[in-house]
Amino acid sequence: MTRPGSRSDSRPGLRSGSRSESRQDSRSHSRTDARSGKRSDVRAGSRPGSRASAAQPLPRSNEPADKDRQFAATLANGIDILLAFDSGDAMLGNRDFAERTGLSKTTVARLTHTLTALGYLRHDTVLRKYRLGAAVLSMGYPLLASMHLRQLARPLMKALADRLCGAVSLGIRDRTQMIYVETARSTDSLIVTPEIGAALPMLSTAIGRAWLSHAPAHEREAVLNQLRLQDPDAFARAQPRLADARRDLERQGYCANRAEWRPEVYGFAVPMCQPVGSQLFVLNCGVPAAQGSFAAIEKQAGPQLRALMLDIERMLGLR
Amino acid sequence: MAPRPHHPDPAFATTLAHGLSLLQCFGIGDSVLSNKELAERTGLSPATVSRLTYTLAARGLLRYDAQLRRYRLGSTTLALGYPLLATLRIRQLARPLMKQLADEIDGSVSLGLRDRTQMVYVETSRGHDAMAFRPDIGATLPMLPTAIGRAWLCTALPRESAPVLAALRKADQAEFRGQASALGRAREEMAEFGFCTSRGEWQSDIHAVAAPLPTRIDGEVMVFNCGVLGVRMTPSKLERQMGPRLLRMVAKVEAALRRSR
Repeated sequence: MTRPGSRSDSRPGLRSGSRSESRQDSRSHSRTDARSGKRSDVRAGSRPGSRASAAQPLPRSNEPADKDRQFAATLANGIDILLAFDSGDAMLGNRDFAERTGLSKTTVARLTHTLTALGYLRHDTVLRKYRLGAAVLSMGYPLLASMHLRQLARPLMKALADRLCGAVSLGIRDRTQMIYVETARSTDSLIVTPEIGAALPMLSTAIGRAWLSHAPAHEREAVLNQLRLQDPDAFARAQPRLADARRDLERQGYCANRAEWRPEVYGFAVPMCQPVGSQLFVLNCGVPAAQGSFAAIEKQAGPQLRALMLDIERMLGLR
Repeated sequence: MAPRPHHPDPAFATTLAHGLSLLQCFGIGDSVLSNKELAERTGLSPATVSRLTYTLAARGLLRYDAQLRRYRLGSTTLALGYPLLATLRIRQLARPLMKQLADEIDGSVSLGLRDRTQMVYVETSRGHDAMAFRPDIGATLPMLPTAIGRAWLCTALPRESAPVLAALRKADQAEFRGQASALGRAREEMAEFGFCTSRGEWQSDIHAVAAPLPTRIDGEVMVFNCGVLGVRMTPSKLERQMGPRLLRMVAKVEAALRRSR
């Protein structure tokens, strides 16, 4: 049980309250706002797997205030410590955690101590920094292992990645981002390593647009609303491209990204014809732009990715 | 896990530990759980569980299924592991070699890291039709009955393995006593051949060998294993063929690691 009166856990309304209390600087947004803002604007678009909105808050607007007393801040803060790692971060120190989460150093020290005892962090006593521990992998294992279609698709994805000299991945939606659940790349691909768990933004990528074009209406509307709330300008800018994606999917069976997300990669994506286990899976592939003109690459990658999805759907008995 | 009202360590954040322990209730056969079921499994009060699940859902680690009125694991559980996978470059170096061996032996080849008293797979490759046994990234294995766990225990420095052995003994005295002689044999195997074996001692139909990577990664011993269905394997084949093949693969990985530095 929680200790009675344990500091921040039982306070009502602490979601906005405790954060502003714990912040030492003068930024006026709540911590997660500041963070997701910083990450989605500055970093998220620049590399795969940057955890753009990994710690994004629920949209406050539609959350009843009385629910806030339900919120266990110590737990949420501990999770934010783990989410503070970005794709390139092998190690972080307590000071890094404090800077990235806005929590006090005392709070951070208690959380990292606990996470280390539980195997989620590993402490390097010489460098006095922390690495993620293997327990972060076992956390997602039941979810990953329950997606049988990954194992079915894996050899086919690898064969296509080799043919295209690129990377082929399978993703699902996680709140307002897409997450890879399987990935294959050709050995000599120049593309920055896509990995399981990598997060991609939705509006600027082919995989995100494919999901938004094909998801069940009620889910899509909810996600579009959240995206609009997060960044109204980016949302407005993305509208025409979303319309293009819907049209492309209808006409040619895939949608494309002409290096809009990352300048060195052309992206293509195909959604599965229907959700499996309440998840809509999307296949994408990335091909280095240096390999040729967009038109030449599209001619190969688009139809072949489409054919791969048809194969997977047949294997699953969906067609 | 029985909840402890007063954790002996005052710096331990109990709420955080309880929240994360809820995630461990989910398994491959338990993909959806209600607050009530989670309360039963953890021994936490329903009110506590409901606060914790609410918070875990707000961070994306759980997903509420309104139709079933139960929680599933959320996809943020996968995102949390990404920086670890992406920074363990040894995985990418080893991957093609692991896949090649898995195809050759028609089994599975994995790479594991120790997590407290268990081993966790960080990479895994399967042969063409190793249908029955499907390991995956994030899978956890016990240490005493498995080749991979034994290889870790036989390779780590005494100051590293001693606390792990003590924790294993404390967790299950009978199991620990039962495995003591096997662990002794594992030490002999490691000294003589450079690998450890498990002959159906963990999963009765799987025979496995395991060998450590000579170079430590981020200061830690990492272990490769390979497993095949027992029907295809006799004990002597395990030692004469699979073990040496795994060692040759590990030597190639080690060479690739040196070249990349």
